[in-house]
Amino acid sequence: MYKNLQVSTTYVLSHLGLIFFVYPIDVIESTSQAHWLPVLFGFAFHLLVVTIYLKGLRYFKGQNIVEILMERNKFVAWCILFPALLYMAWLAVLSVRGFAEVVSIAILSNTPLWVLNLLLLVIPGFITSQGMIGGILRLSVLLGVLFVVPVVFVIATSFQNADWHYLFPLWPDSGAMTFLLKPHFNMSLFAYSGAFLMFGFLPSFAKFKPKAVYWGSLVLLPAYLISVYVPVLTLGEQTARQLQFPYLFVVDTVEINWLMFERINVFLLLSLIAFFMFYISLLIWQILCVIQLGIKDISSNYLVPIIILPILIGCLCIPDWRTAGQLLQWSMRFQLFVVIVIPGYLLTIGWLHAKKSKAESKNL
Amino acid sequence: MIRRILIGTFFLLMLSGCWDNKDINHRALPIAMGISFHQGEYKVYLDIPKVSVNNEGIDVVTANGDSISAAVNKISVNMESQVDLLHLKVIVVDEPFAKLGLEEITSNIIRSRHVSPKTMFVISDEPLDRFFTRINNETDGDGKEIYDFFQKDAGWNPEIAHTPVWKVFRSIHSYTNDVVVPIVKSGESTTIESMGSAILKNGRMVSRLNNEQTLFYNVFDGKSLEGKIEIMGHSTVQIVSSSIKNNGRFENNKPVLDSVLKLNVTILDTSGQTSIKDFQTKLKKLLDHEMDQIFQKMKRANADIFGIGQHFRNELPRTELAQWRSKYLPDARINLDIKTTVRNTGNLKLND
Repeated sequence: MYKNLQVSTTYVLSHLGLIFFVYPIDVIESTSQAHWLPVLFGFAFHLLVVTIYLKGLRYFKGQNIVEILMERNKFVAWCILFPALLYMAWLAVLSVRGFAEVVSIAILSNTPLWVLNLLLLVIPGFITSQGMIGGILRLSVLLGVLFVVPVVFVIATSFQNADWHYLFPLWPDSGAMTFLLKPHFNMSLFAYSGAFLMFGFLPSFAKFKPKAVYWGSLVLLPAYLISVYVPVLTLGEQTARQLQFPYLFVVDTVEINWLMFERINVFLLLSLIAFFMFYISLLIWQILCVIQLGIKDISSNYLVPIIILPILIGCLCIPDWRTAGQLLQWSMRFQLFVVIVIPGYLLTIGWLHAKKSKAESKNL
Repeated sequence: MIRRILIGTFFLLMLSGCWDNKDINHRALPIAMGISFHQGEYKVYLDIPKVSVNNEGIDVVTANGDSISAAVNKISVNMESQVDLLHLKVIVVDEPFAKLGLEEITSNIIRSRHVSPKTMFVISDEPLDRFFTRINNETDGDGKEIYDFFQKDAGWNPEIAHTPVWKVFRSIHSYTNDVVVPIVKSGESTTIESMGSAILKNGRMVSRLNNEQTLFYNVFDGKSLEGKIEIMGHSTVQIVSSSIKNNGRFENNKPVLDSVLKLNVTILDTSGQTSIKDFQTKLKKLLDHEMDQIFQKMKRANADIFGIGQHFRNELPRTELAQWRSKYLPDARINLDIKTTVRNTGNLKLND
């Protein structure tokens, strides 16, 4: 049975949790005009990598990435899987720490940070250990149904104060492509590369068609554009640049007389927290997958706490927001390396595999 | 199963979000804050409604400090409950402070996240001491007038400027946007009296508009709902709806803004014999004259309160746009075309 819907909601939700926070400011800082260029560039990069990845996976029907790699040279397999493992754990550390800070700035200013970190890890861990991937996939549909109304409502109302003149000039003048060299543009790729590795782990648990993913990406593109353009349209580029989380700020300026709630920010934040926890549970499951299939099949009841603990310690070792940003910037090269090498390698061995089996069938 | 229930209950109890929470009866929620600045020291006034069954009015507490948060903190230390600025609606500053510049407190407000960016800035036309004592006079009102005065669903009128903090913040960093903020003082027969509005350029008060000019400013800005225009010695009309279309272009290297203002009005009162035509020309003349005056004032102050520069974003590259206020605004011109429709004349007929 195909699980196309579940896979596309999983894909969309796990990305939505990452888009609305640091992504807008990274894009705004990477260029001073025509912000759609870096957004579309990043998106094209994302689609390209996803396409290569899915193409590679299709050569091995119903096998997941760990099985595919382990069947071949074990040494090479670990050369690929170990960085991937590090990458996923690193993602979890940085994003949990970052998100805890966001929650602290936005709503729970009195709560100690370690509690927030723990909260953002224990609940996803619980989701993973209870449901494994079947549960996570089904959960994505449930979360989608529950939160789509508030999120769409907030996104629609965030246009309230938009001044469309800020859209211009639409075409950049000379030197438009300089954003490619800016470290902030590199960092903005984080929102594109954070979650898509999951496709490699799915095939042996849930069948899906690549079409499901491409449909999902159609939902994501407007989200990327809105998260950057709403702050620019409301505040102007110069002002948006001053803010830490421009999109959240703009949502705070929305005034709705007939609504009994003063700050609609809360709706958005709570929905995004749900999406974010969902994303972390997915990450934990991927790490779990690599360990169970690649090293030893330990019961997930023990393995999940073992995975969470080092991530939590990692989170607690990051003292402040700036360090988190700096660490992200430093590790971006490594992250991009992993993100490019894994799909590329998969496509190559897939192609060789197909060629070989073709030759074999001819010989018979 | 039991283990799952146990874990679930554990989460429910531990994650209820009540960490270090202070109950609402232990919080003081000011609705207005006054800030004045004298010789390097801020004086902060907080308007805190007394929470009780029979609405006993309002407490005004004050403190001095090197910064606003230090002063607020001093108040919090000395009060029996914790000051929470979450529901602050109005920030009142006195005129000398506004002339000195509000950049710093604006960015501090935006930074803190305790104060909502929707809070309004208001300038007081009299010393804050006097203002706060007089508006909280116990014999008239419940002390929440300052709150209701600026609420769009309560006492706000189109003659009053409406500018939240985030717009002031935007104007400080923007090349092409300046703002107007309301000026008030304590009134004689009403609690508060509107005195027009101040033009803030980069967060500094540079000029002022009277009540009527503020209304025209709001009309031009698209916030004119139900505004009443008095045509001196002739009649009064009420604006039912308005729309404005702007188009920026360059003529001999000078920026020209073509504006078409469409007004839908109803007639409230007239004096003497008049006709709709007559009345339309008079209204047009009045608006032209008033707009011209505001425009002259604005040019003198070099502050782009109408956001005229916004319409030239396509014509000017960014480096030029950065010099909009100094290089282009002094030469700018508005071609205002006003089209009035008299929707109805009330219960009485009026000749064409």
